[in-house]
Amino acid sequence: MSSGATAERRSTTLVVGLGNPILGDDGVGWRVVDALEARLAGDRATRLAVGDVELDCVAVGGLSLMERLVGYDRVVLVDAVLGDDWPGAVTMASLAETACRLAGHLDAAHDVPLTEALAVGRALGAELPDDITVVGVAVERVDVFGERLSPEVAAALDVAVDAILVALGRRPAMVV
Amino acid sequence: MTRLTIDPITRLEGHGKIEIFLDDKGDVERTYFQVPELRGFESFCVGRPVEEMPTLTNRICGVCPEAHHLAAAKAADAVYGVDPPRPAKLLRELLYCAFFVTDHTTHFYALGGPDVLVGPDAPVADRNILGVIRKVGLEFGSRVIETRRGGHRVIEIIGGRRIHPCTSVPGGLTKGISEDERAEIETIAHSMLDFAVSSLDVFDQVMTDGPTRDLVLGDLFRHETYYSGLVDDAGRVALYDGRVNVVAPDGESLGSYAPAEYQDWIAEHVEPWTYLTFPYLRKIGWKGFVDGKDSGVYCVGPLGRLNAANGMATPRAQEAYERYFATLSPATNGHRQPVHQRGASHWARLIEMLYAAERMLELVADPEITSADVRTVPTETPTEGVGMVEAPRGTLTHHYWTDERGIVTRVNLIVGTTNNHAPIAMSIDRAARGLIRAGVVVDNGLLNRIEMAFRAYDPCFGCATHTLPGHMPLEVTIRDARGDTIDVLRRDG
Repeated sequence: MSSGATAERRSTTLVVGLGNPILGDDGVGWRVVDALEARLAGDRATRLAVGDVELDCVAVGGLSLMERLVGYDRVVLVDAVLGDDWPGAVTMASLAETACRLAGHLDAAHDVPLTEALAVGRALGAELPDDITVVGVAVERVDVFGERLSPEVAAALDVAVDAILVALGRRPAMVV
Repeated sequence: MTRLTIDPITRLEGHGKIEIFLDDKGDVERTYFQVPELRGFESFCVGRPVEEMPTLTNRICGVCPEAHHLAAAKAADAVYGVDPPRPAKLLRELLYCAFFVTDHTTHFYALGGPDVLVGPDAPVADRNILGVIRKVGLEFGSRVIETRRGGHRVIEIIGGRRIHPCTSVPGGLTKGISEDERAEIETIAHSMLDFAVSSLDVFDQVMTDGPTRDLVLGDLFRHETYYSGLVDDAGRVALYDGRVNVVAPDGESLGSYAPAEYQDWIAEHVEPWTYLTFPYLRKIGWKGFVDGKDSGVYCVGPLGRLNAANGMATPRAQEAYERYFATLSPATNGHRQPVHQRGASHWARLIEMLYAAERMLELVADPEITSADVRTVPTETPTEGVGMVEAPRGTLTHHYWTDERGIVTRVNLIVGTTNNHAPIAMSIDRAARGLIRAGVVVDNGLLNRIEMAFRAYDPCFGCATHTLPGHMPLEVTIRDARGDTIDVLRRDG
């Protein structure tokens, strides 16, 4: 684990889609990041305003996710949220405000919770971001295999991309 | 009847739930163990080319994609009736050993191990990886992370990607490795070997602590069952390939079988209270959740593998294996008895970690490891095939049927933890009966001991039932005979 080394650093900002891409709405984080990539590719003004951002999608949490975040100043996590909101509702909050509300990816399969993993990383001297924002998309179920999103959740992709752009400090031209 | 619910079990992937029913006197009448299910994986696979299965099944969950990737690749090899060239098998095994070191490291230091390392009586807030780091020190903690990083790097070199490898295809691999990459893996393997040796030293130290020793050696978590695991031609523990050996509770061999014969050996029992299936040995039959030679219940994973084998194929692991048996189960009547204490799984896991690291060094020293001959292109018409590996949590079986074009028509998976469903249920029941009695106050410490029975198996329900992963607060509900809540115990996960 690098500590303090900045020579190899690429972007300082990372956006990560979480979830399982073959588990229906559970994979919405991946699809939002795909949509963000498409938006940035097609919108030069937004791309310039947002600056250098790295995008990734992972199906892990806990220690593995923490290890992925090493070296960045700022991270946006995008994940499915199970809860009382109607499907497709988009929320944005800091990691601290989001605990236990997500579909489970911050609190990983066979791993420790992300907050605990971050504490471990920091204790061991890893350079980890203090600024972690979670963009959540409310979903109803994450227990059926499939590659398609439900219509309600698919309709939320653009709003979720807007939310990420807000988190990155570039308010989109039209906020829904 | 009073009902206690542990819901869900913390520090386990999946949303588990233990229910303990008490009788009128306050003694345990029956325990149940439940996890919710993800659905539709088999039908999700039907209609896809079998070549996709290695990259598709490694998405079942993020816990052991490497095991699914290779079991799927081996099943696809079998579907096409193709035998990969030796260098491909060596590389797959090398990747797999790196994964084993990584996964066992994570379990020992972050998941089940804290019960042993920090001690079963330590406060809940300390029994986690942070508590472990306080105990073993920052420098050692860094080696935990370093070991994981090294493992991920080896997987990336051979598997093409971190976490979700993608290079195994029917007949072998899509690419080999260069000499530079081989040298890098060798350096990582040396570091892993040192780490495995140090981990066994750490284990020796904590075993001098009374409560920890009781947790590992005590009868609270002891069951006399059959044991099963892959072995090589000499009967030693094998992780990537071999025959399945089965031994009886008294150490006698029941026989061994090739992966393709698994349906002749394994049947699945169904209970009305759960959709979990309980695999058992067909030859012996299902006699209920009971110990003994007449009960077809068998156990897999580190404990099962060491019991089912006659040794380890590398020298230092063999030494550790001999010491393990000498300590836990001295030979009687001239032959070795299996180790029945479930808590010994933690020790067995470290011996496997040592073996996997030593095996990596053997594999990287093989002259063929950098060969470019890594694939035999399939020419046979695809039909049906079974692929089997030892996943960290137990024997993993993938079985595919295809049409003549190689399109999947049917899939059957038996994953590591599924094999252990019956032993897990029995261990929870044993722990509950041993700890909860009329007049004993049920508190979090006591309930956590019951969870420890569970965690020793390193269970993963991410694919066993296709369970939603998650880490959630623990809630214990105590109900009276009418089902009304009389008390709730809750702690954050």
